[in-house]
Amino acid sequence: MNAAKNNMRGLTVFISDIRNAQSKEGEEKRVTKEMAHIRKEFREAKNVDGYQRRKYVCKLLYIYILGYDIDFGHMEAVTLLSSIKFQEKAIGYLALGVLLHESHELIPLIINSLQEDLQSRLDYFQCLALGAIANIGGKEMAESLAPLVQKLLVANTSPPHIKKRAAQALLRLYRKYPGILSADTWADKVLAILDDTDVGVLTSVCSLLLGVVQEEPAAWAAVVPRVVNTLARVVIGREYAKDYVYYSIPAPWLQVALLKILRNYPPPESSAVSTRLAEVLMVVFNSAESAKAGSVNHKNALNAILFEAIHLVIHYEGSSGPYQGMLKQAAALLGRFISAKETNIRYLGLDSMRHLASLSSETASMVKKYQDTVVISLRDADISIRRRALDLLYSMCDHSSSKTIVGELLTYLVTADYQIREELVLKIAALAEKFASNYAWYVDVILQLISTAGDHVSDQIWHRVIKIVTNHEDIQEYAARTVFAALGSSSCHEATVKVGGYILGEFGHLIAEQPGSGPMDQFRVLHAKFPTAGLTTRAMMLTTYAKIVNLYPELTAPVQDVFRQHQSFIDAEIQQRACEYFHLSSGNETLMQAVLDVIPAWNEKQESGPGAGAGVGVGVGIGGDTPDMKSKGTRGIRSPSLTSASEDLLGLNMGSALNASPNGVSAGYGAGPAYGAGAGGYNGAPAHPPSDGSDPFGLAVNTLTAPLALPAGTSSLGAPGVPSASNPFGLQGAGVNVGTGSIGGGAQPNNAGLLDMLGGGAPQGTSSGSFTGTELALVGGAGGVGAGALTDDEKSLAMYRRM
Amino acid sequence: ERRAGIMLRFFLLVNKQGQTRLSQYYEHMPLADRSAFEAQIVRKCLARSEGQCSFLEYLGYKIIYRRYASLFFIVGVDASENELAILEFVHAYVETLDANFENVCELDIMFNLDKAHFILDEMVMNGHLVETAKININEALTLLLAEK
Repeated sequence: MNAAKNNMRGLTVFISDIRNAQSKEGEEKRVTKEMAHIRKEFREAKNVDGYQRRKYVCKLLYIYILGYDIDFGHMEAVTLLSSIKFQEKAIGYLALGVLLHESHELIPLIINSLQEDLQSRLDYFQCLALGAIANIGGKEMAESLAPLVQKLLVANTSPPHIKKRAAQALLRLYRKYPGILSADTWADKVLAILDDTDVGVLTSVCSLLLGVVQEEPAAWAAVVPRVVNTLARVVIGREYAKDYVYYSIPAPWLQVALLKILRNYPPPESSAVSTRLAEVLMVVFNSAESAKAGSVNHKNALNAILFEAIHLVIHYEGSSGPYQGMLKQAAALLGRFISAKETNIRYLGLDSMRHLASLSSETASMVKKYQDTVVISLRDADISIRRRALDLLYSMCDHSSSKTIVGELLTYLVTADYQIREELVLKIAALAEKFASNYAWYVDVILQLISTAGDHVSDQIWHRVIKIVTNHEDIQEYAARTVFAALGSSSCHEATVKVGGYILGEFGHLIAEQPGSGPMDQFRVLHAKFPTAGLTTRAMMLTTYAKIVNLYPELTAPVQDVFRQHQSFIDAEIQQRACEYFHLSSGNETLMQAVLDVIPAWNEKQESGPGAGAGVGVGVGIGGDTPDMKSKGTRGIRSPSLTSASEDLLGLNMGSALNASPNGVSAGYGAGPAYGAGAGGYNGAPAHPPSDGSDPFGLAVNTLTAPLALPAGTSSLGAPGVPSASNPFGLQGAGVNVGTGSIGGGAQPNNAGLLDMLGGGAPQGTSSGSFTGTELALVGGAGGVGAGALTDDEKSLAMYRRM
Repeated sequence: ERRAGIMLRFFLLVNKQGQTRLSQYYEHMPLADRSAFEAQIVRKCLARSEGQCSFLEYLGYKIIYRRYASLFFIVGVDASENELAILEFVHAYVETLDANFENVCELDIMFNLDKAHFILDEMVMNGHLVETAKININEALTLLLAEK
């Protein structure tokens, strides 16, 4: 240990004691003892001279860094500031720099000291003051001290070490109070500093410029030619002091800073500047060759500059001029990086390549040839690299490579660790949908996804499958067959059961003629999963059974058995469905057929975001809105990257039927006004009881009858029975706005209606809220039955239901 | 208050047992939170092996770290920062320390906290790099030590 001559022995002893403390308690005791001692010394101020004070403040600083709070001693540090000895002043500023922050109450006290020191003859005092301002400067300081700092920065007589600090101090003050550096007054003067030869000054001024340019790029646009000039001086002209050469690289940090400034602007307009810049970049790219040899530090410094240059070229993508060719060169360099030995380089290479690939389809094709390497990186030992590889594969995927890539990802999913699974699932689903040339493949992928990682497959994903299957007649049979087979296996994930249940319910009839998959077989296969299924799933399955009975009355007996068993089931949703379906299947044939008719294709409403669909959850849809569902509805999207992945999924504009709204839930209701209201009953969300309070859980069968008692000719249901694309039930405006009477307030067409209904406690009307919509409210659900996008009301309804 | 563009958000030296030997925060973090924060980060670094890359993400910060003997040099930066540049800056800092302490080790830093801090403050101001040439830093340091 190298003991400097003026070392404070007391401090050394103290530190040794702390180090030798046997336990945390021992350390705490020693610290408290010392703090008490110091406190006593400070109180009896007369004994404390400069040296002592310095020693004590140092000790306090050490204690503070260890993690103990200091509630005294700040004043002592302030006192040190006014000392005329450099060492004491330095410790004072050091301590304050660590202990204070910009809104600390002691700041006004030190502004005075700062002012004096800024104007001192001794430039080292000036340096200390500038340093303090740079670290803890705030608005107050900006107001009083800015002019002094500015002067120091631009004065010709200021030596480099003053200028460096002045630049930083000014940056800090600018951030607190931008007015102090208006472009008109200061641009020329500050930019002139870029011609300075001292690298330290240049680096510091670059930081200042970066800060300013990011806020007001237009005003400071004159910076571009000057920066290019400086870059050329360093890189081509080799004008720099030897001291700043780091492992044979000249001023690497300065080069990085200069390139960064350029990234805030489009390529330079003037051709002279542009050519100069191109020259510089060529030199930088060519230096990549020498990166193959030398120490790690040499390589890192070189690559730091290279990466910055690559990012600049990526930023210039699409512009004319010499940069197109460089983009290709950059891509080639990145290709080398992702196979480099050093992990850091591979990581950065993958990251930068992703930037490149996600810019446009052209850039994506530039990196195609590296696909295999990236796939290998997917299995790298380092989780950071695996994540980057996944992101990159996602960005570089296009039609031709989609099958391979999705296949690779699926294989990887089997062994993937938990941290990355959810993201992986979302990305696979997004890719599968985006590049699905034939939907059979898409269905397969999703089913496989569910069976491999079902827990991580959010509801939105399998809802999507259902929508797509519903909208495409040609794959309905295939889907039915596939899920039937999947359900046949002994272990199958609950999501498969849900998907299977729904699909068989809707399209099971397409395979009913085939041997082995007749209606009884389907029922048996489904029912085998019934006991182990969760509540929501069982609710869905009851609906499916009802549909089966509708089509195949020969199965009435076993199905009704199931219904009967559940008529007093503890879960309200299941109980209600069981009761209602039982009743429905006991003789009300026409009603049953109408209710359980095939669901029409979804609307192609564009709607952003999940959960936006205030789904006209009219009834016989995908499942009840049980409490389970509600909480599940908000699950799934946690990290920012996941959100973006899912937003892609959701916002995908694949034209036709993919972005549908959950409007057309139960086509059955299109049959006529009467069902509009009746529909409500099927949702039985307990939260929306009939307004007369007679049946708080909507269990009574007579919810069916109530609407039928409406005066005939209630016209509010509008175009009766004519489902149109935007209005599948032929219901008017605010969906199940059953009309005048029972819903308080007129049948306002449109969207307000939804919320009215909810508010008015109107029973059936509230079906629109009763969110079977939760599930349906997936992707692009354009909410309400009314045409057009969701209003705020509907959106808040959706949010309400989601919670 | 605009914070975009601060290069470094914090600079820490923490040993393998989680004891902080030097800490500088370029944006204010309440004291109470610091120990836990520092210990957590060190644990994440410890969990990684030598062959893995030096970059992490934690709580919205990009973390760049390197182990020198018993100390982790940990820097938290903005998402937009150039990682390799920071990595090499850490190395430059270590080299400067080394020039001043002859085979600098953790003990040296502990017993000369003011010097180590001073050197860091010469090189980084307000979160930005200002000085990387050892010779200039040494000049300033002599001043600190000279007056008696």
